[in-house]
Amino acid sequence: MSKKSLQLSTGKIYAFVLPGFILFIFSLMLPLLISLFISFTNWKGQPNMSFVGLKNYAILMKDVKFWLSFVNNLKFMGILLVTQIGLAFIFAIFIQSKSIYYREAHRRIIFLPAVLAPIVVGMIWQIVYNNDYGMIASVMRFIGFENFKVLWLDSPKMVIFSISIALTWQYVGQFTIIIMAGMQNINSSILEAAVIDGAGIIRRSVSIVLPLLKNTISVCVLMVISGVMKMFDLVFSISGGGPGRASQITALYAFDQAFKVNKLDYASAVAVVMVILSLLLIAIFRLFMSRLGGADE
Amino acid sequence: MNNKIKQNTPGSIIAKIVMNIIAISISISCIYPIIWLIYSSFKTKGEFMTNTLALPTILHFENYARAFHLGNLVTSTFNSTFYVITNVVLVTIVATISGYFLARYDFKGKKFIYYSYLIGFLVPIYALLVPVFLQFRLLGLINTRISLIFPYFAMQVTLSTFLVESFIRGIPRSLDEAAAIEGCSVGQTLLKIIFPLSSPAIATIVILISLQTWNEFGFSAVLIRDVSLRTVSVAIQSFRAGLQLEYTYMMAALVSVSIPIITLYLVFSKYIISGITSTGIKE
Repeated sequence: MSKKSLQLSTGKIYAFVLPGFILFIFSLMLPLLISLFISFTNWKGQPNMSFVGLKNYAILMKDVKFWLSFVNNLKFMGILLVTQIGLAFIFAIFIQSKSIYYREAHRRIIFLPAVLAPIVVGMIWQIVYNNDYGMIASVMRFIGFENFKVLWLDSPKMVIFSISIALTWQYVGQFTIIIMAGMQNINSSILEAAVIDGAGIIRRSVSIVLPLLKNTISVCVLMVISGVMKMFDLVFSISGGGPGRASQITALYAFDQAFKVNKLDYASAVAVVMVILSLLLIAIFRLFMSRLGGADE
Repeated sequence: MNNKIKQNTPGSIIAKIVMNIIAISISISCIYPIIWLIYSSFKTKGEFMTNTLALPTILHFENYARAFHLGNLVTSTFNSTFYVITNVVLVTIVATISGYFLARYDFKGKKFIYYSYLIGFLVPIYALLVPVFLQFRLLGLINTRISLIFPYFAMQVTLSTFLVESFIRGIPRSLDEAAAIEGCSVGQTLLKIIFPLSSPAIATIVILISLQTWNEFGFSAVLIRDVSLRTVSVAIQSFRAGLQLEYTYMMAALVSVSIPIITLYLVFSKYIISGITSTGIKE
């Protein structure tokens, strides 16, 4: 009975669903297909093009600059997994604690940077890091460390770390709130039992809360992975990939290839490989988690 | 009982104070850079350079006038508003309708549509910079107002559809069945029953789409050349390129383009927080 009353002809359903779906195909799938097509040609904007087969991909496989930029993505991932999720976990424990006043205000304040435009955050941190009149340099001068000089954005060794601090600043609140939501789902009687058994806050956090948050944390990891793969604006505005190529990431590399050296064919191949690498990373992590989950149960 | 005793010992009071101090320092470190940006934007260049951390002696509102003039911010605010509105309208309509049908009906090709949206959701959006540029170059639509509408739609439609779909799953089926028995067409059911009942989800997506469309930079930088068609995120970039040392104007511009976003957040933080976090939890 209940199924019957919601019967509708397929044609009618399509009349509602397809216009939106076609718009989606045109906006997202078609450009990818065009790029896939162009990546097999030598088209750089000239009137005629010819097929070159897998040539662009063959170049890409040996392109050290591309793979270095992908390694930079992985470096960001490694750092952010620790800083964003680790800090978020610690923040969540503090802000969740019943001894904290104005918990709601804390929650709203730490989330605020997440809504700012990444391009704005990049520009803010560029000033924060400025060697002469940046916020950090001034604070250091204020507390008497005149000689404390770190080339935050100008040193190839520091730059990824410095940008990671900016990224962590922007998104740690978001992860904190996700982890807090996960913590709220933990049965409080388990924690009370631990309190009675004499477990301190650190002990409780590490041996009880953390294992029970496995699903929440795996969601956070997935968000870091996909977040880093789609990163562009913030790095573009804070360092432009520099100094040299020290903070170059794949999205910036594709951008440079297309718009700085005008290799549209090659940039297309970069874009296609970027999509594949990113889906692959997500798939690997999913597989890893399901293995882990299977072993547990 | 146990807890009550614990709360009153001197040790636990100290612990409480320490924990509150740590929590306050966490919040301050999250918000201080924004506050610093805001008050610095009212200083003169000289004031800023001699003492970066000090408060301004006089509020130099003229920084804002200069910033608006130099960055063409009136025009770009208008342009960004245009994209926010068109994107909110387009995505909300499409996401609600497809969310409804994906939640309620089984039809041929449903899996195909569902997985296409899922792939669209997982594709790193800035891998599309070059592809989207190629598409509109081939169509001869680079540097036109219409071209940006499409990537913006692509950025938002998948997540919005999933948010609405999962919300509609929570609405009792009997409601639209009753409407069908009463003789409502699908369109009427959507308008009169599903739309009003999904208003919390719709409010969430409207706010998220507005935020993220206003903030978007990459596609706008790639598809638009004319100053008259620029969005705010590209407009503020011009401060970086042209006026490297005019920090106070740049900061005034940064504050100006962020004020609408911060206001939206202050008013709707409940929706924004729940929307962005459910994004993750849904996965």
